[in-house]
Amino acid sequence: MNGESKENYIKKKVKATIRNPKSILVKFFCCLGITLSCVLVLVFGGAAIINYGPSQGARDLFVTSMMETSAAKFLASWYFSKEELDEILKANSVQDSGQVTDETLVQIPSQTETQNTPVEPIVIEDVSGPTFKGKMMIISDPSRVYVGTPGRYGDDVEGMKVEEMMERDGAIAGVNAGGFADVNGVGNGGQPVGLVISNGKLLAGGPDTSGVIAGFNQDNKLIVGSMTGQQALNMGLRDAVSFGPVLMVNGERAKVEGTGGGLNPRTVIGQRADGSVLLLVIDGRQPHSLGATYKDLIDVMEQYEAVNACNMDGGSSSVMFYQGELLNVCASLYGSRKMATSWLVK
Amino acid sequence: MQSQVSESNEQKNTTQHPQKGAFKRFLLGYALVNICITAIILALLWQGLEQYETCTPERIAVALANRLEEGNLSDFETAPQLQSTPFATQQDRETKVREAVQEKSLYTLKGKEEHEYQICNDEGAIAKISIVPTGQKTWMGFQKYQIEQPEILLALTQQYKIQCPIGTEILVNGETLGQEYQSGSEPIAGYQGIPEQYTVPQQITYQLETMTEPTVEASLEGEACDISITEDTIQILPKVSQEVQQEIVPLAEQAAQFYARFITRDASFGQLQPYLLANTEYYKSLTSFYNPWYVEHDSYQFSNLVCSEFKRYSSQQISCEVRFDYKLYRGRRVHDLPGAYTFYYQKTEQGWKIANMIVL
Repeated sequence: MNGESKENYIKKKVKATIRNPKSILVKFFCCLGITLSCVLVLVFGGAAIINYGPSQGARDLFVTSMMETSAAKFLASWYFSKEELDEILKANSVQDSGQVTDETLVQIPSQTETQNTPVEPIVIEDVSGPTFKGKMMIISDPSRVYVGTPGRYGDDVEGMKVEEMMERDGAIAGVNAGGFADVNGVGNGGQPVGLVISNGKLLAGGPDTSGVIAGFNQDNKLIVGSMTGQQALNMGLRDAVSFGPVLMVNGERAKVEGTGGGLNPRTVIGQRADGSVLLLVIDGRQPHSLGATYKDLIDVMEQYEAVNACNMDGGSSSVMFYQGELLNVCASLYGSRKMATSWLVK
Repeated sequence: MQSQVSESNEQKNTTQHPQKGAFKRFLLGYALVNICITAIILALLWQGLEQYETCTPERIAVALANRLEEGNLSDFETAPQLQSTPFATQQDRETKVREAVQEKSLYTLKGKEEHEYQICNDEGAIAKISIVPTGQKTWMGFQKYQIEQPEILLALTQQYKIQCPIGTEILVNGETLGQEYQSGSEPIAGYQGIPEQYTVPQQITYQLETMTEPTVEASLEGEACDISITEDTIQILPKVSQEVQQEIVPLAEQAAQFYARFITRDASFGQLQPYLLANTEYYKSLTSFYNPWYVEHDSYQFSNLVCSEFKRYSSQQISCEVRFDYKLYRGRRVHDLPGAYTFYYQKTEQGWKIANMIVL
């Protein structure tokens, strides 16, 4: 550059660059390679520190959060064997007390009593905690709540989105309900998991299908607990789905070990002693809301005086609609998913 | 020409080599910066997780439960339940806690109080602590906490009450029981209401805390005492000599029969009176007892009279139990009326007299 003007120097550089575009690409990719390598080291190193580092709590949250998803279980499997994962999940789970709802604890007021002391039919409130935000919908008349379905199930059938079921039925509100076959997170909602009872009929599962069930009987009382399909029908359940775990039964909190699950989007159904139905949806996997553990859900349901409460499908399935509007932030980038069942409100 | 070409090549190299060298230096610097940033972020993550683990109440409680599970009781050194007492050392108490948590998985529960956490096993809560903020924060902004008010909720020791006459010398697990364990004295209930010329015997009560049922030895005036243990009460009483027992047995058996017959209108108060100490509350109640209501019957029969359970409260006061079978015959009907009494005897110039009676 000595003896040369700055302008000439720059011109020379530009010319040299234009003459050799291949070198630009090489340099770019070198820089990109270094950056990507560091990012990969950061991601995998960070995950390794979470899983093998100083915080057992962080490890447990990570493992339980990943294992509760449909598409990201492999992330936990990279770092732990199946036995190790089972041990961690067992140490951070909700225990099934074996209890089933005692109907006598729920007293639904008669129409006369309701007329004398009118309450808002549907109330929606914000809920929040250290790691989550969500919505609680309170429906004072439990007879308005029922299971929405696509009509039939099978390999050749797709599920329906909650808003589609609402529009078909003319429902005013809805949330997602039970689980469905969702390998790698790309299930189409055509095959529910466990039982589905709609309008008193068994649409999926059989008399011997057992698991945790949440459903309404003919008296509009929410029944939760582990039972078979036959037992559910014998109890006169008009609408019911399978999922779980049971979070509260007969006014008692479920026993939670460790973190009680990971941080994920959640959906919960519950009922108060006066029969009001509680539908809770928690946002997750978002900057504004990481998600809630089962313990968080129990705390919220207890705060709202639930007598019985059961966890429903969560993750990217968790949605709450009211009057056609999506009230929560769905974890799925593609929005509301097609699913097998939903809780709808007439 | 050749020199021109070589000159041109030399110019090209001069232009390109500095560029390559400069880019390599840039690349090296860029890589170093990225590596440093990555390392710093990972180090911060490690630090953050470390502080999360030590600065979150739930995690502190879990870590404490894990230490407890391994038998480490350092967090409970100041727990009142682990403080040493003469008959229950700290070591014994800690051993009992370790036995209770051995091979059992522990979990934590938020307690009802604001900062309270409970450590539980399948059988329930075994310990509780308060995890309170200190008001200080770490350099990453995590609130610091400290453990306060540790308590062991297990029943590590058993409380025992020792009752004995005044002047009794007592050894518990080989150690002399001192006056500091006395919690009071009280009169023997069976002798309340006796005439003033007689002294109501007193018994001293001691309270002590031991890990297991204690080994007790006692003596009064050089003679070994009888010791009986029922649940949490240890009763110490001097022995009753055979001579005295032989004096009392026939009196007690006869008194028991007369009393039963008095109730069923088969004997008069006058027949029972010689066995009684006059002017006691018991005596007065019998004088005013109304028995004409008792049903008529043909005959009666006593059998299986047994006098036992002698207890000496002083040289002048002894109790015993009398049990018997008593049948009343009314035509073909037989009424079974088994009896069981405790007689409290007072020595008088006229011999042993019943100061009080309790129906068992």
